[in-house]
Amino acid sequence: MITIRQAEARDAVGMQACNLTNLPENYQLKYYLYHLATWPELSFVATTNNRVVGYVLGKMNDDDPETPLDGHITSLSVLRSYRRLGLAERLMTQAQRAMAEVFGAQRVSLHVRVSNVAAFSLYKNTLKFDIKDTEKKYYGDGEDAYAMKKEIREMYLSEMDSLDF
Amino acid sequence: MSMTVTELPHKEQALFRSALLYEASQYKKGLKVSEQILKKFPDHGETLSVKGMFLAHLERKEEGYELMERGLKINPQSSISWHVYGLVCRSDKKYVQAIKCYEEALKADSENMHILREVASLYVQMRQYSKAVECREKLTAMNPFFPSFWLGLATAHHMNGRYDLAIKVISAHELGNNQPPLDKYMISELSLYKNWLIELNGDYQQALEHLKEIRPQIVDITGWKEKKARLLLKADRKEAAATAFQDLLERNSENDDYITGYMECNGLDMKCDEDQDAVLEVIGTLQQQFPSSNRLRFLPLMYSTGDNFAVAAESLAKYALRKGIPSLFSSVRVLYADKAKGAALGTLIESCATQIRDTKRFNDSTDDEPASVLLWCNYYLAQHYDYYGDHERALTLIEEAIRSSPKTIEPYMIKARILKHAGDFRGARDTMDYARQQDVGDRYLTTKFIKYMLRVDEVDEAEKTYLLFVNEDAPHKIQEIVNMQATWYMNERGHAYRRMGDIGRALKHYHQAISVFDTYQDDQYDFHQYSVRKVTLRSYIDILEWEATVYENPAYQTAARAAAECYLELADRKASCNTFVPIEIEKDDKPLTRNGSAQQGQQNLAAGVGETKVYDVEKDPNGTKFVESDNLAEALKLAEHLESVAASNPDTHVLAFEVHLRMQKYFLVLKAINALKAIDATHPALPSMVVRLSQALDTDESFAAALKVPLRAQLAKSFGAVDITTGTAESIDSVLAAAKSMLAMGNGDQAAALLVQTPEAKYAEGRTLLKLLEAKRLLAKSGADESTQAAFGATAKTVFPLATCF
Repeated sequence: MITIRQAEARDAVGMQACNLTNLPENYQLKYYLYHLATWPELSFVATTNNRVVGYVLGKMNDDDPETPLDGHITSLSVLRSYRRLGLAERLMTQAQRAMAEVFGAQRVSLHVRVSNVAAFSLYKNTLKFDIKDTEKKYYGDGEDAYAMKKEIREMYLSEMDSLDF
Repeated sequence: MSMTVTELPHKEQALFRSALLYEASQYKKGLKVSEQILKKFPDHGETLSVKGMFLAHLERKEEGYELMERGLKINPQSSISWHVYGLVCRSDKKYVQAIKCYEEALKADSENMHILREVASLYVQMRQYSKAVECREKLTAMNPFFPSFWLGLATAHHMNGRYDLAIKVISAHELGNNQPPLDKYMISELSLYKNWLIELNGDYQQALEHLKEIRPQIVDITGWKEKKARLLLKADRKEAAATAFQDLLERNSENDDYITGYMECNGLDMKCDEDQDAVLEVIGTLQQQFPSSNRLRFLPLMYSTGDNFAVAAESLAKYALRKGIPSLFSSVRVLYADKAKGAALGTLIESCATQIRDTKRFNDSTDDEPASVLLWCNYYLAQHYDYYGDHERALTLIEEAIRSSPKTIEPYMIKARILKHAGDFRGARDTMDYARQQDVGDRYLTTKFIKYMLRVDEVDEAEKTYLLFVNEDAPHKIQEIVNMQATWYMNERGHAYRRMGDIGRALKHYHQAISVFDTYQDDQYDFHQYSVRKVTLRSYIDILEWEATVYENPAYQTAARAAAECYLELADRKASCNTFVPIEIEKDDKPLTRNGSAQQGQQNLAAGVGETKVYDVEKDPNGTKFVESDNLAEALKLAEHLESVAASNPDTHVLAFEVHLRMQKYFLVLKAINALKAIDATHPALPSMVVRLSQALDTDESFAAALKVPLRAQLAKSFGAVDITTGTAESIDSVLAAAKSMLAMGNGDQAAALLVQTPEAKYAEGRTLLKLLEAKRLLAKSGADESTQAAFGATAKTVFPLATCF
């Protein structure tokens, strides 16, 4: 039975394993730790019996000085055997909120393969992302990517917590 | 000459200083500069050291170390010389040596900030926290306004167990005139970290007060809310805590900690049977509030029994079957430990299937269900019967599922798994091949296919297939596989080579996996400075605490144990004059391995030196260096490491026993036996371990008779009279353990006599496919004749009729 929570250091190996199983874009463990050390609130995992079956690795965009307040999804994946539970949507929703609340993100951006119909549909139809443009030969194997973006600032109003406790 | 830098003429001093700036990464320039100085002062110790450092970073390590040692001989008190030596040791991951160098450097220059900072990180790496505290206290005193110093000090106090001192340090410095100043995010992180320290220090009330104080400056709102809920619960303020957990559930209704916390607030222990009705009621209320939560949908099945369970299961099942959720069985599988629940689930889904087959709808539905529901019923039931070992029935069901929807890929995956469980590994592989060809872009399917190929020892085909998904830009694709740290793949290849008898290559792959974990542990080093600079301190402590457990990972333990067993096998074969010889294999130079279409011998200009760069994976293709090592010493290293990191795993001590016995370290052998007994006094390997130790003591004339006395006495006291065949009448694990030991003692016939009985029914549920396969392997090793082995195979096939592996 699955639980979804913020990613911790002990999840990094599992996230890496999930990523290696599912996706052609892979990273060394240290890169996962780097995300957790820089933006700890932006990564989430779906686990069952301490096994990572889905994850989202989020960051704030530090490549482009023009758009420092954009959240960015480095990687998102769910094991095929755990599909149809809406895990990807749930993981994205958690990450999105954190980007807005913790880092003041105006937008979230990500890349998706033009041939990845399932992922594209998740982003476009379920999560309401728009295509910003097409980046030619973005992926290592030469495939094009849709660069997608979503405005998120207004989604999360400032929370007033009661301090009466 | 023993002249220090400050005694060099002015020009050379300036050059020297600039050489140190180059230390940042411009090694070639730095080398040039130091050589310029050496032209005039060829024996200047410190310059020799610095030159050595640059050489070490330019892949001329041996030369580099030589020069640095020369420099130190000339000027043994030079702080600079010790510092650079320490730097190089550190980058070579020789942390213990690096620390020694830094400590020498400090003797000559005790207030050097760089040295203090670097050695503090090393102390943390080596978990010498009180020494890290000392260094960082000095640094903080030198500059109380540099955040990295006092934050580093606080974390060192934390890891040293002094939360109170950590809090003190933060309080003293957080409002100071810090340069660089802390930004909004950093202040938020620091505040929550401080709050955590107050909690760890045990004062929940103070933590709660502090939590209120800091709220205006918090950006990690979820984190703040989590603390609020947890602290309120710890302070036994259940009502307020319940509200806080509800608040959290609004953000994430899939979080198990939130749900469990909420339950605790209601005074309910989910694991307590008495609370069952109350627990289910609360789950029901939460489900109404959060109808989309998957976890809340599954939870009732965990905590209900009997009729409650039946109702909850039916509700979940219908939801999942209609939606076509492939993981339904995986999710409820944990419940099958309760036999009644497993049976009830089977009955339920059978009933669903019957209803759909007969009437196209469930009994209580007003509309027809989609045709796919029957597919998912069969899909579930196939897994259900597979779980109970009825592979034939499982196959029939999954094939029905496939026939009803040949384009759905998931059923093929289950079919492959059933065939694997049934012992038809080739059939599993072929089925998985078909599945992945229906969606070649899906790496998940290909990954499974690769694993199944390796299970039938198709190592080359597996590699070719793996390469399909390796990054096209990688300069060397096979090296890239290793660089991307795919330990599952390394271990499976290792197992395949081991089955094929290629111990050299098996070791090569196990060591690849072991190196990955060494890298994982090294990875934390940079975070000692990075995380402190970023002020993500909660995350930093989390990284440190996880890193201390890196080697507990099952993939590491598998690789280390398997490698140690390989070394033992090599040692045994050497001892019986059947030395293993590394296996040569004719291989074409694959164009796939190098980027583009490089031919053998083509220059790789990226190497920069005009030579073909040899990647690590290409070196020693058949594992000769592992084979020709001191086998027992290597086995010992691995066994000792496992004893230190995986002492709670019985297999660790079974391995340690084998190693220490061969090395005639009988006290350590007894230690392993006792360690195993402490974990599990009924462990099947214990009787034969005791017998073998006794036998060794009887026959080993080189071991002092006086020392044998206490050993024998201890054995007698702990175990009494033991027979190697203890337990072998009913337990297949005991048979396997005893047989292994009999073989080790040279009693092949005795082993064979035991092993041939293993397919018999009296071994009941222990009679699994994998255990019978192990029995078959040991039987072959025992030297039993062809007809005996064939008879064994035939009997095994009556237990596993679909198996092709006997």
